[in-house]
Amino acid sequence: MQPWPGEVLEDRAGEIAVAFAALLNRHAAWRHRRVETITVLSHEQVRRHVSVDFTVPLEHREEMRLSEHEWIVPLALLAKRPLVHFDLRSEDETAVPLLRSDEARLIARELLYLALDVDAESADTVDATPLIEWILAAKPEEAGQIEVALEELEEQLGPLPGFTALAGQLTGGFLLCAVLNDVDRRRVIKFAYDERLGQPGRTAHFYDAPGCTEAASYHAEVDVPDEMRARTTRMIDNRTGLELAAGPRDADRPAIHYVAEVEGGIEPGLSVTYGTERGRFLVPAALVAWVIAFGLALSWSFADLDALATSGGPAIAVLLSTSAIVSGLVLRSGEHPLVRLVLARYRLCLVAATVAAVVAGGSLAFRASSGTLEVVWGVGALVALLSAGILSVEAARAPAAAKDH
Amino acid sequence: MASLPRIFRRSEPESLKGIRERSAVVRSAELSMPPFRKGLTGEEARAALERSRARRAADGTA
Repeated sequence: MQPWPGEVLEDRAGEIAVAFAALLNRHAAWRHRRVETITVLSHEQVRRHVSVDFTVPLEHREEMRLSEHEWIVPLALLAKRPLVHFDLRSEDETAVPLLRSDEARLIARELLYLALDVDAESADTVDATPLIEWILAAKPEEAGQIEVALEELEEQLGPLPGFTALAGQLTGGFLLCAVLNDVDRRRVIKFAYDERLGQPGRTAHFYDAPGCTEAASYHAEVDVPDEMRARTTRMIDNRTGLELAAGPRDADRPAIHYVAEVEGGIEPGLSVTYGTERGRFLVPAALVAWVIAFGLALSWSFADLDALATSGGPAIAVLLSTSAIVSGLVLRSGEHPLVRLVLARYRLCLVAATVAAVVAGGSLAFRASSGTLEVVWGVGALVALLSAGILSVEAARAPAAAKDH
Repeated sequence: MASLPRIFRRSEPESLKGIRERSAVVRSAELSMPPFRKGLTGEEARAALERSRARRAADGTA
């Protein structure tokens, strides 16, 4: 009777773990390149596309074989939390099967036993099975308790550096393993998933990039939303503050190339600061605010507001019509959520100038007293001037609108 | 009194250390791949696996 698929993996898990032990030890020796593209979906969410270019070492192909035409290849370690919009594809965009987390656990279990035996000569004096099963089934929040249990095990068996490090990682994550039908050639496997920002971010984002040390060469790109630019793009070791690589300034698709000198030992991430292009909103908004500001300030300084109150129909109409222009700038549809968030405070400036104009016009229309007119128009002019100033400064600071494809 | 340019200047932190904590963070769904002892040969790994299997078979936990 032939074994069923689940039984085959159970039989082969130990052999596959032996191969994994070698592959996880020398990422750069078999992974040629890792490319990550981060697409900003909104101020709360990004989508990360990852492609891994690798060649399975000849000496480990038999160990990694699951069946006649199937090989198990470790691609990544994924956090134990629900994956959103996950996708795994081959070079020609066909879907690639992957092991379920409970299937990958069969291999992880063998890896843990293997690591324990490598670290401890007297591993047979302690029954580590309950601890290993706990590690595999643990939720990430149980990491502290498992750490204590690992310390107790080390007190009995001596230092277990490899086992404790592996146990720590497998407490929080599970192996993402692709089932490939061909490892005789160089392969490029792509996967993608959505990730949320810890808190809605406006202009400064930090994207964890733990995979940058797990290939001989690492490329990262950021797909910046329309109407925005990445003002700075830097790969930074958060632990030391060291800048590992930097991309071009004010780019609409900044790219970074990084070659890790050592594997691990750093806390790398992509730090990106965003800005909106000046041409779409900031410059027009500044111009409108200046028109309002001059209209109010000049009228307040030189016009006879009392006389305008009795015969100011055209003037009021002009002032109020500015609100229509402003509405076009403020209430635009189809804008990227991050653009909307970044521009929110500048829209408020424009709204403030518009409200000042409308209130000033209204005070004329309702024929307010002379003193009230002076106050309303004076304050309105001040508000509009301040708004125009802020918008002008921000427009000057913002990146230019021309695209640098 | 703060000058006008100072009001508008967004001060850049002097050190990039801990910049993750000062930014909106995308906590990666990926973790660092699990490490393994450097210089571990295939033979050593296989021998460790065989020892472990034998022990588990003896314990009845295999």
